[in-house]
Amino acid sequence: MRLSSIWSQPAAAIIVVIVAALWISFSSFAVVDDKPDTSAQTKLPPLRPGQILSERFTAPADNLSRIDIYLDLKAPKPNGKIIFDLTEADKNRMLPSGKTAVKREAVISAGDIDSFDGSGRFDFQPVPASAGKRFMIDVSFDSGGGAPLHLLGEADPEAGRWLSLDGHAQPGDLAISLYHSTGVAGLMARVRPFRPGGSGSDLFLIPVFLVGAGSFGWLLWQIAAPRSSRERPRNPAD
Amino acid sequence: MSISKIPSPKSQIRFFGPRFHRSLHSPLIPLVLLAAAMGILWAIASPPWRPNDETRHFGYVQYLSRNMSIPFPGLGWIGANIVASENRTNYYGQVGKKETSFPPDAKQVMASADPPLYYALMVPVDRASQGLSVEGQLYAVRLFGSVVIFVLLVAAAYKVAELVFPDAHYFQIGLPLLLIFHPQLLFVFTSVTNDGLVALLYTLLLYNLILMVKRGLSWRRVLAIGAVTGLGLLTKLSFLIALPLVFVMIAILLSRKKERRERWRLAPMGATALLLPVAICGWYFFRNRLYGNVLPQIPDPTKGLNFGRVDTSKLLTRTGFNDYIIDTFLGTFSWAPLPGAAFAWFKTAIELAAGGLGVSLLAGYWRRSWLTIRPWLALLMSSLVMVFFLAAAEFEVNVASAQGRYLFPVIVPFWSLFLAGLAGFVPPRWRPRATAALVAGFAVFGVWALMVQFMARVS
Repeated sequence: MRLSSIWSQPAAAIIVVIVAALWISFSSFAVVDDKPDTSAQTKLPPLRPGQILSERFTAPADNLSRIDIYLDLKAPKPNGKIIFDLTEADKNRMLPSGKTAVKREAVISAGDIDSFDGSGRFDFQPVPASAGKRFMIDVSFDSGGGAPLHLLGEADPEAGRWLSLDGHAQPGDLAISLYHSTGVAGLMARVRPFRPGGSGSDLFLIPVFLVGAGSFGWLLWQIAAPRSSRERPRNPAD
Repeated sequence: MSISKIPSPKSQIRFFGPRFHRSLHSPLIPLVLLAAAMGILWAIASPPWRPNDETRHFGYVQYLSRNMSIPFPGLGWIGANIVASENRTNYYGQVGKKETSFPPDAKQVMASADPPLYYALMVPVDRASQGLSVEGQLYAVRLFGSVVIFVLLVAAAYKVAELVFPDAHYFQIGLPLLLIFHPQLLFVFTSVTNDGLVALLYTLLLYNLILMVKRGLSWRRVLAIGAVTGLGLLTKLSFLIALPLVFVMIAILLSRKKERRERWRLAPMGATALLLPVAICGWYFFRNRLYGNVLPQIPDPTKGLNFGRVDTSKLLTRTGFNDYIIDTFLGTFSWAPLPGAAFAWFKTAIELAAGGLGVSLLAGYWRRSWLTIRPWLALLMSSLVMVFFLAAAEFEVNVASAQGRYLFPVIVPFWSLFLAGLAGFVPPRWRPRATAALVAGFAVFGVWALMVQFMARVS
């Protein structure tokens, strides 16, 4: 066996371990903080082109980075663009004062709506120090003359939340999920509660992940490397 | 020449035999390590009671552990400590509720409609972890029960792949890797549920059936087929679908024997393969018969909830049932589905794989090296997947809501066809690297699904 072939599999394993370690070290994850209560869902009035549906809420954590809205999957499937604006709301007023410290925009196609749970995902640059601040999201719809957008809401409004359509107050809340951006430590912190011993800790999970990565690198080399006829194992079923 | 200068043969230097040294180079060791690592990560990442009906399955384990008697179908409540844990861990957080408040004496039926084998196997783990909290016991059963079964499934998948793809080492390793990075499979199989054991036993059955076709009937093979079928029926009733398969394959083998005397010689073996399961699991069904319920499947009042009250043909052609099954097969994690684009890509990949399989079979007709899988194996495996798919549709129409996990017993045939199909477009020389690229892409998807889509979103 040549020297290069002796070391090629361990080398492949080490390379995949290094890549995996770098990936988890430098990745950021959008972690959910607040989800809508799907057992108390309600249908909101249809959103037509030109109308704006607004919801005010308080961000539960720093680095607010993603908001999901939910469509009624039983309504006719819409076509067009869903436009999303996030602005920081004034502390004392229900609507933004116009002098906003934070503004984020995102556009998704109605075709990007998840066919399983009807969620539409708006990703934006994380808002630093967002915990406890009030924000307003404006959702509008450009259907190009097609069916209106049927969004889902929550029947029981939460404290501090407020919903309006073209500035007119509406009952309930817009159903939204709020996410914040965090590193791997913040992600791992979520799997700690209720796990026995240290099984939910970084010290256990990250080495397990790296052992898996090394094994995968080893296998990947075995798949890709060409085999000579002498090396090919004889199969009993041939 | 002094004694120290006499060259010693290599075998004298080695501490262990050549078989041990060969096994060090076997893909099985890194496959087992990787399967264990991914299984542990999924088992720990999944919050208590989140996977499908986990309270009901764990309640069964706890019942057996405490009472040492098998409950009658449909009877028996989960323990009060599990109900208290549902409140403590906010079981309804999965649907967005801020808190869960079951009354302490809430009656929740355990999974007593299922046969007892899986639960009985978990009893030693439950007893060994008695000192822990109920959540600690749950994680102990997940890690030392379900994850071990998942690792055995991966090893069994590798052995099947050796039979199905004898000339393609890249498929032999690639097939188990697809299982290891399949998000919904890991979510379900690393939880407390009998689904993993059913898939393991079904894979072992498939292994023995393929070996039977390749090597012919033998008493050893027949006993293995009968035992696996009997144990499968003692695990979950859906294993009944295996019985016609065993019958048909033995009938075909016997019918191919030209001499009548030869057929009569082998007939007792065929009969044994069909009667041994009855001997292994008959007592359980006889006991239920005495109680008054042979097949304890109680129709759910929510049947037809997802797609309206339609018959099977309309369900398959005029509703979103097919998409729903594929979505819940790939990754929906109990109310936290993957993004819609992932489902769309997966459906496209399945269509491509079906096309590739056709290309491979047609091209292989003229040039054998183009064949990625033998036609009879492709026919057997696609029939199995279709039978389970149709069974899921029947279940949806007649019993209760079906899910993609109902196809997991045929997970090895599914991924075998998928792999053989996608590689069917590629010339044989390029297949190792094409398989490596496919598997690497799927591994990235599997890890992304675990960390970005599951751990970050399921609280």
